[in-house]
Amino acid sequence: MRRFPLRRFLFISVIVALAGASLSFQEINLSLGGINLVRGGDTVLGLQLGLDLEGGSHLVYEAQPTDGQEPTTEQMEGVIKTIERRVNSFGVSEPIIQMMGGDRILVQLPGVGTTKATVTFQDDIQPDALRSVLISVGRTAVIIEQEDSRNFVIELPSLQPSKLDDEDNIIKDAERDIIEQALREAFPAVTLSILFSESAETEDIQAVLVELGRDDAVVRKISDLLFAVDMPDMQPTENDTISEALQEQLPTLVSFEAKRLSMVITGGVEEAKRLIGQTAQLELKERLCTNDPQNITQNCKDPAYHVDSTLNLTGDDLIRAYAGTDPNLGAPVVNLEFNSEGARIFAKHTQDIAGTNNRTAFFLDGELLLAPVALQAITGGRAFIQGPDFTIDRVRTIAIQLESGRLKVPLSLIQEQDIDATLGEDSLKKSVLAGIIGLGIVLLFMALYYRIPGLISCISLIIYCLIVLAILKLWPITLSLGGIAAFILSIGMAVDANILIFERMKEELRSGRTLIASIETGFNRAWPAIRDSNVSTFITCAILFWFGTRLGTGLVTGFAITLFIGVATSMFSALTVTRTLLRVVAITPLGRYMFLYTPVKRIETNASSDTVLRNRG
Amino acid sequence: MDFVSKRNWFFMISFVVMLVSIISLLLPDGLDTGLEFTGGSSMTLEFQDDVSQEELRAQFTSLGHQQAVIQRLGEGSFFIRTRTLEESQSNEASERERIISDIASNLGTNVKITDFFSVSPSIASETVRNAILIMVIASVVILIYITLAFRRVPSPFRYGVAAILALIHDVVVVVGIFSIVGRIFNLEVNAMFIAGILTIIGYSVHDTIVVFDRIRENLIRGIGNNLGSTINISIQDTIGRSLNTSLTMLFAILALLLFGGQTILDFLIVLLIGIIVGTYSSIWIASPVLLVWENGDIRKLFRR
Repeated sequence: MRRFPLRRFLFISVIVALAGASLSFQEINLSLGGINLVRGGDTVLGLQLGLDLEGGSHLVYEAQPTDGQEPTTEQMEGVIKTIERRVNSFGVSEPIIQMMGGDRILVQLPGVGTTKATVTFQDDIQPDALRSVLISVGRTAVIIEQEDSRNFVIELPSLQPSKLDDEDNIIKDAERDIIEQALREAFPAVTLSILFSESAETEDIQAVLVELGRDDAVVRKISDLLFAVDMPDMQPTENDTISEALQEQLPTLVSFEAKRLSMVITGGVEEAKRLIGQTAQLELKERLCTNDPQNITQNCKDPAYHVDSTLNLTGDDLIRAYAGTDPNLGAPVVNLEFNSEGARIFAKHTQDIAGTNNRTAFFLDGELLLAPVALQAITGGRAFIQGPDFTIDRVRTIAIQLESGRLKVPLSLIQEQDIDATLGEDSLKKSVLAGIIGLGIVLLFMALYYRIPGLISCISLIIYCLIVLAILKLWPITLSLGGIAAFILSIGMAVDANILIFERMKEELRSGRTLIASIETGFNRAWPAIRDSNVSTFITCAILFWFGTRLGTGLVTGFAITLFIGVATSMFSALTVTRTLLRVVAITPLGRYMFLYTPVKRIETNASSDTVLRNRG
Repeated sequence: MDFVSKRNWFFMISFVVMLVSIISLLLPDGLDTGLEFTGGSSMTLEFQDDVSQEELRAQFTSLGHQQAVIQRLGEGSFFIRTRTLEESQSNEASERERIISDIASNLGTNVKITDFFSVSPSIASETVRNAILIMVIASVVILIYITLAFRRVPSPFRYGVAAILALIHDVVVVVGIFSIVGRIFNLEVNAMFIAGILTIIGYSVHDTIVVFDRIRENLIRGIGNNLGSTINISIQDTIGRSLNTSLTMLFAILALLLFGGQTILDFLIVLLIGIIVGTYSSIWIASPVLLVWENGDIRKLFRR
């Protein structure tokens, strides 16, 4: 056994190198044998952070039974697709939308917090002038961040939506509209963007504007063909006069566009919730194609070449939509069934468009889902849609989307947690600090108390931390506060495995064995205790995980997964890393000094107490 | 050192502590249950300019939240707990939006919600049921596992039961102490508390198994004249490890307590109490129970 454990040593080195490498690169983008691995990002070690560390909203919705019927799996899928579409339109980066149990949906929106308006002006603005406008619309104390003299970010917590009376008439406009209107009135500056087909001169444009009495306009040449004109205090009515005058005097003008201030509103969990809570609306419209079917540049899909008109046909008129196959060709199709009113409208509509290039446009939440043509009039209220690119998967998705617009599944919000980004950042900083200090104290204790083995366990604990963090990153597991707590706890458990082994080793040394024999026996003796105690922790983790998914908090599930990974890794680190390193040290000159492995004083006291009982020959 | 002969003293101590724990739990406000268990909304408000607690209370009262709990966290920073706030219907403003805009305009300062948490009362009752269910399931599965793991020693079932008894002892004492400490420091039972209790279940069993493992090994090797001395030797063998592990765990937890965030405070306090109690019970409760069972002490007690 005096051999250097080369293979194990290499194995550990490779794992450490891999773990180290995966952590040292912020972003990983690997493509090996068709498997793409994209991990990491702009965070600590590129770890995926939970909402409690990053800021954002955690929403749990429960689908309510309709007419006493629990929602089916297909309906839930439809709801998820609806939510996904809306969240994407809301502009949230990396949202998580998942089923939880049979009737619950988890929606996580990172970064969604306070509503912010990003306003870009067309000329320089004083922040105080902006503030006074906001005060005039009732925003008495706003936080304004100035990016530069034209770009501002305004925090607008709890932006009020429009107020409606009982008959759905707007009695008060949405606050965002009120603010935008006020800003437009207060800062009427406009930049004109003018494009010519042939090169033009700054002076010519200037001359036209002077003629119109706008000698305050500043013409800037962007390229030979493109010019920008800054127009202070331009009234909306001036738009047409300027455009016409330019067109008349400069015939090479191609396009004329007036850019006013732009206001983009982002974030706002209340707005996100309003969007998610709405049920999907399905509407069928008649699409008249005005294109020339022979001309491939004129596609009916292009809004310039079609006109949509209402059919008064909505999801309410649909009895069901389901995926199926064409009875003759066997190709995947989407089947539709209308009620009697729907069948009547649909029959008339298909009669009108049958054989032409005109279409039936299916809109879900105002977005076009598909627009098939009709081969013949469909009078029985039963139709199917086929397409050359239809796969079983595609028709299923379409059917689910149509169903989501037909059968409204009411959602109720049963749990919500919103955490501000700065608060999350603060928690993260504190946790990292606590983790480093905690680990430091543990390492110090081990090194002082167990000497050489203690130092070795320090190395193996650091390797342990590297491996756990690398697994968290590569899996990837979202690291939440619960996960950090579990990680720190698992350090304690990893230490325990080392302590168990070292205590056993010391006993063997005291009973007079050689160092190398003691190491082996120590490990073998400690193994059942490590195994049984860790299995009980695994059991707890599994039950906790199940509990966490029922509860809907990422806190508990994050804790369970991280603890599981931690305990599993701790067995590897104690049984393989510590053992191999100890063997390596044992064959070096350090292996000759027994006092480095066991406290000398203890030998005497313990030896006298129970030598008789323990000596087995 | 003799760990088992004084066992009745330690049983007595544990009995008294458990009794005090149970009394504290049964007295009014035994546990301050968090939103997960009762339903409701809570938020942390950050005001740009400081406002007084009375002003804020008046605002909440006028908005129909007389029951709101309002705690001052720091300058311009408040924690507020109310009944579950209503979500917005159609396009109306939600109750939360109305509260914020009313407070901001009435107090004339900007206000921001840095942390918002809301649970509908309908799932709150489910949480309590799940929490109890999970403890029972965890105990049963662990009992089965220990019985299997100790199948090579006589009456393995006793080891499982002894570990579960120690576990129940730990949970009762930890929850009880938490209740007593909570009365002083206003601690709340939340989802993280449950996670803490479950960790303690894992830790308590972990600790007990290490001692039992040694008893198992020593029994198989025939060490000790009788069960009592075998148990005593086994505890002597493992006490170094038990104390060292507990100490390192306590170091890690203390670091988290001192430097970590507020969010997991309840969890850490549970862990701190639980590790101390768990270490104690693995030495002075779990193993002596084996001996008591073997000797039939309980029967003797009743025969008298």
